[in-house]
Amino acid sequence: MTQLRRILVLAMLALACARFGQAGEPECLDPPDDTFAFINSGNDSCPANPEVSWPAATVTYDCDFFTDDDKGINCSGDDATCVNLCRAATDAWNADLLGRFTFVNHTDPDDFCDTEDGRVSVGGTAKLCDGSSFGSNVLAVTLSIFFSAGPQAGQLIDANITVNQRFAFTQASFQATLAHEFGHVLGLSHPDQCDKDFNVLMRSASCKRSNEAGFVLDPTDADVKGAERIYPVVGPTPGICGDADLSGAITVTDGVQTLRAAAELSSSCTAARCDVDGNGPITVSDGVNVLRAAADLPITSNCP
Amino acid sequence: MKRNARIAESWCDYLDPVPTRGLTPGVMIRQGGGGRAGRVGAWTMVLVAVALLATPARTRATTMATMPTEAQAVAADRIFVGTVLSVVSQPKADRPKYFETVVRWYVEETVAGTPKQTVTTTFSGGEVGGVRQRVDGMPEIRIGERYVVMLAADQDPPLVSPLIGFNQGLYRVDGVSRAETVVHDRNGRSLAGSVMPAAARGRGGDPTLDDFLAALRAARAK
Repeated sequence: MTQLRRILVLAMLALACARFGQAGEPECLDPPDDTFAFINSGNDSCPANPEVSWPAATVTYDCDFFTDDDKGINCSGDDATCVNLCRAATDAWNADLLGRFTFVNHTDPDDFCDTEDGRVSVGGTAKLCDGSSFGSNVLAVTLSIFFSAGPQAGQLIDANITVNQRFAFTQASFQATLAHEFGHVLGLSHPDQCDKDFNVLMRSASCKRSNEAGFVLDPTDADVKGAERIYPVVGPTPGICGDADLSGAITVTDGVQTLRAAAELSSSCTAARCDVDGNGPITVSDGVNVLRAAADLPITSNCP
Repeated sequence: MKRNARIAESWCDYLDPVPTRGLTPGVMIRQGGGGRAGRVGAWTMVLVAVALLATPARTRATTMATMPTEAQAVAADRIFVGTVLSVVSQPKADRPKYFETVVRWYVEETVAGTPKQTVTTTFSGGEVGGVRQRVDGMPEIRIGERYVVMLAADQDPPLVSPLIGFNQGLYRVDGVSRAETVVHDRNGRSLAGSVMPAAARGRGGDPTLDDFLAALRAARAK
């Protein structure tokens, strides 16, 4: 009888596995280098070029909230371990984006979920910052706040990360979850939701358990390449003056983006890249200058 | 230096991280030696194991892992075909620092539940005064678009997204005449074979609205 029961259990497990497989779960293949996606500020949910970024190529974050009584998380360690794993997630990005972008650990106390302090608060919660529920299978959420119109369109103002206290994490899965969320903070989106479904950190769901080979703990090459597109160089003026889409060269597309910004339409422009004459606002004159530069005609480049 | 991941062998065993509430280990290990109690214990173990294996993987960000369309249909509280009448972003009444987007739907056809002629849904985030608050993966819905909408049961506090699977229970409907109307994913792209209802897969290409709805009804009837 016991043996029959075992056979029955095994058969049911096999059926469940087969059913799960038939549901069409992805194969999670090795990623091509272009397996990345950008957060969109306009109507195109999968823009080809970065549209949202931190203008100074740096942001301060605060993982210490995990030590608060009401913001702790089960990360398979004590509160200090959770904080250290959170910091390790930013360290991985910092190492990969050396000279391009820097996550800076906070030195002053922050307010959790403050939408205007320009800092990334990170903590465990039962609800999102706005008071809504996570839903049954969501591990963590990053709420990004950025200008969507005007000359600063695309510039991030704030971002905050909430981790669902309903879940118990392994240390590796916790670190990977936060590394993924910090990828959103950078301006990256989910490539699998833009027809690029491969095994990368920014995939909307992990392909593997944290104790299995192939588990993605840190940014992959593809994730880093996406971030490098957003932050090509370090400093308050990332990119070439006039290179609106950060492609590395000034093209007609940049001129169009600059003209769109001048008309207050969605655009990949920031003042640092598109206010070519440096007079403050992005104007039609800047757009014309970028088009001239794209045609190899001389311009005066005075981006702020 | 970089850490490209290897090909995954299987999804079947992905259960990590685990919920701290819900299915309990105590239930899983309850087994009897024989007789009625033993059979109940074994069946409980089987059912729990199957439930665990059928549980979608949890995501690291804002969305759930791929959830088969049939499973979405079964889990939905209301399913309807609707046209977007209005999309309005506004500060939340109780937390005005945060935005919400209210979408009003005209219900053309009901598949499940008892939605009214017009249904209002609220999503976290939105765009107010030149500033956008964005939860990654949140659907972007526009006036005049038609969708098959699968809503989760109302909760208090409300869900970040009222759709089943955060953003998955939403399918764009494209076409004019009923016979030629087809169903796409929420972004208007062809439905992946993995998420297309089994009953609508046979024809290849995009399923017609009729086939798609029939598959949803069949899933709920099981």
